[in-house]
Amino acid sequence: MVAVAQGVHGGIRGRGISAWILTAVLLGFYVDLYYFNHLTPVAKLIWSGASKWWLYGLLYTVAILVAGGLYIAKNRRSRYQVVRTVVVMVVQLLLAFLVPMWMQMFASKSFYFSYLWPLKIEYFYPNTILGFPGWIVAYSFVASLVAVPLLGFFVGKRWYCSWVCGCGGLANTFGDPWRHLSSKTRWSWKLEQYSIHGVLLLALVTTGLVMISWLVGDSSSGLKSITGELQRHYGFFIGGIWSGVIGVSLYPVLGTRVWCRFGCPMAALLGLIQRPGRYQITTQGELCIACGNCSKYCEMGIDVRSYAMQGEPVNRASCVGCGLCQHVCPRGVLRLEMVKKGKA
Amino acid sequence: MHHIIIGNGITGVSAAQAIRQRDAAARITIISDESPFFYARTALMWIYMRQLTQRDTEPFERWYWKEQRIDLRQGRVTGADTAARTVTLEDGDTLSYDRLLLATGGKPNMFGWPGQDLDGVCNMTGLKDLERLEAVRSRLERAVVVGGGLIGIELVEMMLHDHVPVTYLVREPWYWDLALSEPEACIVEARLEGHGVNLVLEDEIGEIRGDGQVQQLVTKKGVELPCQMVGVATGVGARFELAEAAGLDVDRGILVDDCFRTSAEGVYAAGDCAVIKMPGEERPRVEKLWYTGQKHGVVAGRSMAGDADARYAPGIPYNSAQFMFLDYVTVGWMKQMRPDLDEHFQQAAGTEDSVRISHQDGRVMGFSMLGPRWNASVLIRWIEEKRGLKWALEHLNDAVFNEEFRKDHLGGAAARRA
Repeated sequence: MVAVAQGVHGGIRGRGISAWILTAVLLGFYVDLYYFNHLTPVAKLIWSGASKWWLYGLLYTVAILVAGGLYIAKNRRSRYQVVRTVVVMVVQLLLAFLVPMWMQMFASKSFYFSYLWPLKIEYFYPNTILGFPGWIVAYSFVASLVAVPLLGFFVGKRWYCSWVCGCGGLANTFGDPWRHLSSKTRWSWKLEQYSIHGVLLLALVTTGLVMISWLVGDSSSGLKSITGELQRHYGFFIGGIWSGVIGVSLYPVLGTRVWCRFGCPMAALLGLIQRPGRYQITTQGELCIACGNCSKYCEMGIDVRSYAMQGEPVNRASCVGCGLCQHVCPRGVLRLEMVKKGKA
Repeated sequence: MHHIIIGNGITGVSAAQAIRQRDAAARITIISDESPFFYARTALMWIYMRQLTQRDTEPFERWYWKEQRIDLRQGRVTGADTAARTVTLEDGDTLSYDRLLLATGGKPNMFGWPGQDLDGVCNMTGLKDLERLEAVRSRLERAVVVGGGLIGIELVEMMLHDHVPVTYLVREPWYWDLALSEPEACIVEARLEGHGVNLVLEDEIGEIRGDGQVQQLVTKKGVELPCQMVGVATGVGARFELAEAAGLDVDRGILVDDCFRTSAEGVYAAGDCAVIKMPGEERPRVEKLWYTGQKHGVVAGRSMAGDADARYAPGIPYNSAQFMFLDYVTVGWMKQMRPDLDEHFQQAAGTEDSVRISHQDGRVMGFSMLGPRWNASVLIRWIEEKRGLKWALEHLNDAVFNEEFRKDHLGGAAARRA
């Protein structure tokens, strides 16, 4: 007798009841984390200097390390997947967990070297900047304003979204069983363009106003209160509810990159740079058998197959370069490449 | 102008798209018995493995057909009257056409083995076959797969996916002798055996025994293999009963010219069901690959829409595959098709990466590549440019299509050796 695995047909990976239950559990966890303090005493049990956010970081890191190990085992045939995942795991452990923890221990102020403005919008807020030593501020500005555009242009947004970023790291490891759930409809592509660029605009306006308001100082109380409100709401709705609560809790029903695709201002910015840049997925249309594995397993909801069938390169702002389409293609049709566009 | 297309596979759909591209006003109807929407039958294995749903294998979203004003109709065409220019459906409906395309595809070869109609004897060419496979799936303890080709190995992989012990019966002295050389087949066979497949070469079906359901397969050499499922993948022939009944010229398929015109005015045939008589070519062409089906469809569609320049130009043949995750691509002509060619073979020691290059008078004629991924259009260009063997070996790196970080066992080695 054969026990047939459910795979993507129903069940925990196919929006079955268990998937909804898991989403409810995750949602409950995030609501508690963000808006209550039940987790603080739990954190203190492990380390007396800990906050609930440290405990969250620990869970997040463990999730990436454990699921990352499973992901590597599953995709060991692809060296690109193995190398990329090892880097994501190391970055998470060091830059997003251990270093901030040590800084907290010895300087009582932590900085996440793997998070940059505009994703970490407060890293450009004057109040934040002033609280850090000059070299950290210099790092933050150089990374955001020089490394992001340069690397984005030459290697694509993947260097950040799939190799460094913790949101992407969690999506590609812990979230991997649900990556195929991303919507591939034309409608969702339209929605994505409006929503992600809308958030980018909001992030730019918020950052700008906060800077201006700081420069102007106390002379304009109207500006100050508006800016304060905007800053607070951005943090609450975009930073908290969307990137945290919704972004992760809905993995089992909406797929993994909901935040990255529809909301992340960093991904939006990198996407705008990626489009005219060097990165693309080259396709060999003549070898494509239209099976649909590439589209199915694209976490960004790109209909890769529609490009592959025509032999057109996939040159999309949203592509995070995870490389799974290239890996699951059964006919060697796809390749992530750095090319001079417009020249064959 | 009403174009009726029978069959919504890659050929029928490509034809409909080509017609629409040329003629915005034409009325286009695609009739299919198998499925309401075009799906990629190349993906059947992954549906079985629960890696894709059937919906995932539809290359176009469903709004596409409405937007393109291509009418889809599900039903079985029972007859065509080429004088009255009508087709009749099973439900009694009669439709008139101005141009008719028969893209009825292929059907599995079954050679009249005793017991071939028992429950549990399965092919793998369409959705009906998946239903049959599903029906036997829960009681599978052992399986036998027959036929050393691409579909055969897919059936084997499906059994392995379910952890069902499988015997793989291949009539030839090695796996897929039509395309692979013996050393190449050894690489694939080692993979099969590494996964516990019981590979039986140079033997074939004698009879299938059972009582309603398959219980045992007995090979010609008398080996008894208990099983609940026999997967038969011994090639496909043309499906042309409809054309034959309508009085079209047929010979193991529907005879067409290089515009895909049949013997009846206004009636075309293309894809797996067609036998193409190219001007200047002695042997009629029978082509049953995905890409040829697409190419046929495009030319047939253009031709139906009145494009006088639409002529089939086959070009240099190619094919690609994956054997249990081992990539394979072939381009041009190999010794199997052209015994007069010479061949160069090399395998990177201790790996599954190999290249085989056929050549004649110092010029490369074909490539057969296992392991790495290759840019097929570069290899095709080398044949067109009449590159020499030594040159090709020195430049192999330029044709590699591997993902970043993949270890290079061959390109460098080939360059050093040359």
